[in-house]
Formats: sequence, C-alpha cells, structure tokens
Amino acid sequence: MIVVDCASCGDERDAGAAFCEACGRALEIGGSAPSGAGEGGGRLGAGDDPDPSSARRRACPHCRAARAVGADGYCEECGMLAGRPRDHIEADGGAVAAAVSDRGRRHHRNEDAMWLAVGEAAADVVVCDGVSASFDPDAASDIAARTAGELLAAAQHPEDEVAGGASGDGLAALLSPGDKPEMSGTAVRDRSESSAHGDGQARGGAEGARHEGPAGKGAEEARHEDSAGESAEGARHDADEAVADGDATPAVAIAGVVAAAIAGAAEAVVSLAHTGDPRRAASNPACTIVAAAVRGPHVGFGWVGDSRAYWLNADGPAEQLTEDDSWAAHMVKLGADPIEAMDDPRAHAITAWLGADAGPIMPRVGAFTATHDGLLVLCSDGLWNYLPDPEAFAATVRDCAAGRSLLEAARALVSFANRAGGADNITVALVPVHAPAPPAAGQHAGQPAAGQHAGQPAAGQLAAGPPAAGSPAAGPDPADSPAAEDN
Amino acid sequence: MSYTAEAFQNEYLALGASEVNAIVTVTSTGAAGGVRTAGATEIIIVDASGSMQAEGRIGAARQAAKAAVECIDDGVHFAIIAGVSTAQQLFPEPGRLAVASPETRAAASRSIDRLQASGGTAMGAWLLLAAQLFAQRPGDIAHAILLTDGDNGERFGYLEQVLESITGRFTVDCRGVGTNWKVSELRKIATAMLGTVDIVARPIELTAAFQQMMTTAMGKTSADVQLKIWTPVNTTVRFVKQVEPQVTDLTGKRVEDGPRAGRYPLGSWGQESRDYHVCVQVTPGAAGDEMLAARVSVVEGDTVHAQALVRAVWTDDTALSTRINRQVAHYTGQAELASAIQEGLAARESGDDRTATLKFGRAAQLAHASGNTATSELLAKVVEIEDPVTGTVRLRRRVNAEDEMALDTRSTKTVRVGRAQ
Repeated sequence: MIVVDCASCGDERDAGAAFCEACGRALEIGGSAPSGAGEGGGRLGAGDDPDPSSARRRACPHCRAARAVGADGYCEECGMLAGRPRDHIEADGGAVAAAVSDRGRRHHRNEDAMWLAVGEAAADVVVCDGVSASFDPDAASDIAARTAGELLAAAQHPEDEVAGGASGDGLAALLSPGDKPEMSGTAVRDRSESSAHGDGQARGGAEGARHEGPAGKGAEEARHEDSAGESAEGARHDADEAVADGDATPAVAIAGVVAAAIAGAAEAVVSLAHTGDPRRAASNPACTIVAAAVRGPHVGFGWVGDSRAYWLNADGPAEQLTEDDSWAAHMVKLGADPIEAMDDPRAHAITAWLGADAGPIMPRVGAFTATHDGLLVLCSDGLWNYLPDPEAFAATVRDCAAGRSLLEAARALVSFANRAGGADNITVALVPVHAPAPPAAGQHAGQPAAGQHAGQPAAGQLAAGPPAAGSPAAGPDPADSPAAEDN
Repeated sequence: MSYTAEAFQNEYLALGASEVNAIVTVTSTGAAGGVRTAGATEIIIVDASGSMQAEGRIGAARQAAKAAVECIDDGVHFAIIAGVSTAQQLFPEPGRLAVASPETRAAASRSIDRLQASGGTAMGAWLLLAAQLFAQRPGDIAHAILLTDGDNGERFGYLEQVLESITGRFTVDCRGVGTNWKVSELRKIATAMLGTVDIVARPIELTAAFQQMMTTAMGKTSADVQLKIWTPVNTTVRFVKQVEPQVTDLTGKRVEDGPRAGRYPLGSWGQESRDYHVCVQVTPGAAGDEMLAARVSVVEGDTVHAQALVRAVWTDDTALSTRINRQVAHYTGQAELASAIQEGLAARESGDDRTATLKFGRAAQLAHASGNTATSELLAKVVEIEDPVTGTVRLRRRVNAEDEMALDTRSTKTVRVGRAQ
C-alpha cells in the first residue's frame, strides 16, 4: 500500500509540497532538518538533484552553506557528504509492524538493511547487517534483505491452508508481481486481501505450543532450534513437505520457509563477489541476517551472524530467541564467563555470515506459536550492544513503545541507541504477535491443559521437524535450550 | 574520444588523519579509427653543433631525421630546425610550415642532406623558434623532437627562462646521443614540456628511436587534455604526479580554474592509459564523517570527459584505516625508486659513496619488490646487487657512462600494478 522512505520523499511527494506526506517533516531546506528521528539531519529533502545548478539545491548540514549540495551528495564548499537516502529509512506497517534503520553516529554510511512486508496479522521481516571489514558490505546487506524478504512471501498462512488446501498458493499467491516493492528493504506491503479468517479450530494442534510461563519452559519445549545445514533447495523442499504434510505445526512450516529464504539470501550475497568492483573478489561483500515470518500467532525465524530476534511479554526480561554466531557466544558456550567474554576485543567477531567466503552456511531456525500477546523485536547489534541485559532491553523497549505507535516506538529505540553513542548502524523492527483471540475466557484458563495435549504432539513433530535437518533431541530436550537462557 | 577515470584508494582514514592519497587511472579508447580531433604539427630539432661530427653522429642524425619525416602522416604540418649557436630553419623556408605529402617529405629529405655540423648548442633559442612556428597553428597537437649531443652553451638561466615562457604550448621528446650531454638538462626540458627523455648511446640506434617517437606522436588524437581537480575549502592539493608510464611531477603546473579548482596539463592523448597520484591535505573529520576530498575530472577545454571521486571517510575501526591500497603503495614505491636512483647517482658523482650505496640499495630493494625488472637490470650495471630483498649492494668500480646515463634517464619509468586491491 504505502512505501515510506523518508530520504526518498523528494521522489514521492507532490510537486511543490512543503512537507513530506509520510512523516510530516519539512521538505524545505535548512530550518528543521537537523532535528527529528533521523539523527544528523540534512538527509531530508530532495534526493537527487535534477539540476545541479538549480536553486533547489540543499543547504549543507555541515558548513551550513546555502544551496551547496551537489548532485553527487557532496557539499560544493566543504566537501562533506550531505547524506544518502539510506542513512535513515523507515517502514510503517501501521499496527502490524514497523521498522527503522539508521546510520548511527560513528559510521559513514548505513550498512544495515531491512525488509518489511505486512498483511493482515502477517508480517515478513528481515534485518541484515553488513560486515564492515568486507568490501561493499552495504550491497551485501541490501541484496540479502531483499532476496530473503521476497522469498518469505512464500510462507503460507496456516489459515489459508486450511481454507484453500493446496500448498503453495497462500499468501504468496496474493502478491501479484506488481506488488513487488520498488525500494529494497523499505517496502511495506499490504496484504489486506488476505481474507481467510479461520477460528481457533483452524489453528488446532499448535495451540499452547508456546507456553508463556515465567520460566518459559513450555516455550522452549515447543521451539525448534537447529542448524539447517541444508542447501537452499533442501530447505525449500523440506518446507514444502512440511506444508504438504498438513499435520506439521504451522510455525515449523514457516520456519522452513525462513530457512529457505536465508539460504536464498546467502546465494544472492555470494553472487556479489563476482560482479561490480574487482575489489569485491578479494574481500567479498558479507553480512549477517535475521529473518522472521509471522502468520497470526505463528512465528518462524532464523539467523546467521549476530543480528538478533527477541520476544517480549507484557513484563519480565526479553527473551533472546537467537544465539549469536559470535566469538563471545561461542566462548560462553564453552563455559567462559559471559561478561568477560563480551569484554574481549574479539567478542564481536562473528563466526558465521553470508558471503562468498562463508562456505556452506548453516542458518539456524526457530519457531513458536504465541499463546500470549507479545512483541517480536528484530535488531542489529547497533541496538543490542547498548542493551546486553535482557531486563534492560525489555524495559527500554517498553519505555519507547509506551503510548506510541509502532513506528514511533522504533524511532525512539533508534534514538536511544544514537544517544548512547550510535557507534554502529542501528536497525530495529517491531512486530506485535497476537495470540489467537480466545472464543471465550475459558480458553485462556484452560491453557495448561492445552499445553499438554496440544503442545506435546507439536513438540513431537518438531523433533522430526521438517524445516531443518531435525535432530530428534532439538525439540523437547531442555538441555538444548536456546540462547535466551544464557542472558 | 571517450575517456574513463577511476580512483583507487583506501578512503578510510584514522581519526585525526589529514592526508588523502589516491591513484587515478585515466584511460582513453582513442577516437574512432584513430582520427585526430585536431590538426597536428611536428617539428624536428636536430643539433648541428660541431661536436656532432664525432662518431658519425651527424650522418646518423640525418638518417634518423629522414626516417622521422617518412613517419609523418599526410596533412600534418611540419618543419625541421637545425640547431647551432642560433636556430636555423632547415625546411621549409624560414617562418613557414610545410604540409606533409610525398612531395614535401621528399623535399625535406633533400634539405636534411644539406645539414652540416658546425657551431654551438643553444637549446633555448631552438625551442623559442619552435614555439614561434607552433604559434601559427593554435589548437594543433603540437609535438617536437629534440636531438642533441652536448651541453647547452647559452648563458646560465636562459633555458629556464625560455621554458617558463613556452611551457604547456607543445610537447618535447628529448634524445641525447652519445654520453657528453647532461641528463639533468634534457630532463628539465622534458619535464617542463611534458615529454620524455632518453639516451641513444650509439648513433646507429637513432633511426629506430626517431621512428618510435614519431609513431607515438602520430597516434595522439587529442591536443590538450587536462586534469581538473576540485577540492573543498580548507583543503590543499599536496601533489599531483603522473606515475605511469613514467614519474612526472605536475604539482607546479597548476593553473587556477574557478573557485577551489585547478587544472594540470596532461599534454596530448591517443589511445592510452596513464596513472596519476593525487595527494590532498584535508581537515580531519569526526568518526563517521565522509568527505569528498577531491573531484578529479579529465577535461579538454570546457568539455568534461570523465570524472573520479577521491573520498575520505574517518573511522575508529583500525581494520579499515590501516588497509593499504596496492595502487597507492605501488606507485609511492615507484616514485621513491626514481628519486633513490637519482639521489644515488648524484651522491656517487660527488664522491659520497656511503650515501650512494644506501640509495642504490634502497632502489634495488624497491625495484625488486615491485617487479620493475627493467630498472633492476639497469641498476645492476651500476652496482653489484648482492641481495635485492634486503637491499645489499656494492658500488661497481668502473661504470660505463652510457649505463649510468641510461639508469638516470630511465629511472622514472614505472611498471603498472594489477587492478585488484
């Protein structure tokens, strides 16, 4: 429906408009630019100067020289870069989801990328973070987010499946090619046509798979986590199978699609090494990825690298759904003290990434079905670096979200990271996940029971789980508990 | 004629760093079918001083000049100057330019046969006459060949004065025959006039040298190409050097062109590729700042053919700021190689063997490391290279003057580095 890209407003707005239709910020130069959610102003206004000599040229945000910014984005006076469209991008999915990506304060460009597509009670979200030691990491994150996002559209809505039956024409079929977003990573896709409205029955067996007790035990049992060491084809095949099986947990089927999407993104990033600048071959573009597909209460997610997904309840600490592929996480797993490990200069060295030199990638995936309303947060390390503590993370997110729209909340989180130093690019995506509306209060009360009779079979299927090369121990074994417990 | 310009650099600077280095490669595909966009004028200046009688030089010079005349394309304007104590036009009649055709080339050859060696050497006067002849054809690709075998006999400072007044008006390729001429003198001319300098040790080799120079000159299709460099305020261009095919410092040739921009003459161009090292001094920025340190354009008059951006990005990530760009490192080494050789030769001449050994040692090391085998071989005739890796050399007792001069004139020749970073 809407494509919101603040810095591209110049392309979107009507001629002569004084304010941006999307974010309400002044398009006029000078005055209000430096304030606002996108730190470091001046990125607003016209994107590309159609006529370098025109009087419409922007003022330089650095030296304040009027009409000094040339067509290439550099100030004709002081030479400083006035800003790129990607420095601050926002995607507004209304009440369904929102995402914001920002350059931060210390990096010269935004090497993070994001993708957000929303439908009714459905969202596809991807956050990628370019590995700055590689060449053109911004290209890597861009193509990864776009490719994964497009592939996530294949994740079927379980309700469609029940209603429509045939696998493969769920949500994906609803997206005509014309729906394809123009700008990578910034698209918000409307899926309001997604009209299937199954009731509680349709979601059947998965109810209660995620058991939101304070200890989160049930959730862990239901969550399937493993390395999907499959090729993209394998993962896709598995995903298809999961859907075709019909009796697999919907969330697990979604996770299969996520795994396939990440594998597809990996291929796309690998292909970059042999295109464009020859230096790419020597230091190939690389990035991390965390992706999630939300279909009603069902959430499938996966990741490679140290971009994270969190789950937030109404109270309590945030639960880190992902486990960083990083040196620190590795050391913690081997028994090192977490605080010491994080203080090590190598802490942030990632042990897995997407790129030509990454070898065969092993995206790890997880899936769950929400039984309580909660908030799914995907973010790059530009945010979580400032909030290593899950309590503080949850508190900050709740703080930023209180009384605000999702987009404003995402902006507030970006501002928080910028105030804290903005040492890295910051990307935050927020997706509220709603538990199935109970037909009566009785459902809620009867949850423990549901957890037993519905949750266990789900876990059993997870063990044989299709989305990844399922290790039987992965599902129910608490010893294989997710990273969230480490924090 | 279409040009491309590409900048190679590590744009990441450590916090506080203020020097930005980039290698800009300018390549032109040449005009379609090698058609010149401008007219062309060729002038051949042959030293006819008395010393040219030795070793049959004047005879060889006559042969060479005739061979060069044969290489001149039809329609190109040309003239031949006989260099004695004053400049005398040998062909066509004084003050005129001939248009190349089978008839004029034959007439020129007959004139050359009358060339006799007698008198002195007055390079300033020769160049001045050439400049006057070139002035008749503004906008032409203007190229001259200067052949000499001895020292300039004009009063001290006169040649420099002349060069200053004619610089940029035409290109001069200088060739010294024998070993009685001064490399520094011809280099002065070649540098000022954007040409080359080389030794032709034996007169018999002159014909090939002249043919080669003339063929190259005929391949030029654009007369006056310039590098325009824009820099932001509070930024200065520290130097601009051509670093490939040979090292030539262009820094002093800057002509201001509008606010914060200057032009550096590149001379005439054909289908070729050259590398330039641009070094800019900027005001350090904060972490995350990105600055356009220089916008380098290839221009011809008001036409901008190609553009490359030299950027500066400040980062606290030392993994990025300590990356070494291969191009910059390579050509920095090649420039150092040239100066090490020249300083070594100067030290040797002044009897400072210690400094000479050090400089030649460094040169041997650089030549070896960069794969500049041609320079390594020339160097090996002047010093014994014991270990090129550590730069251990021993001065040779007896060195042929021609080997020494060849090393000197060719010290600025560089080799190209691979494109990948």
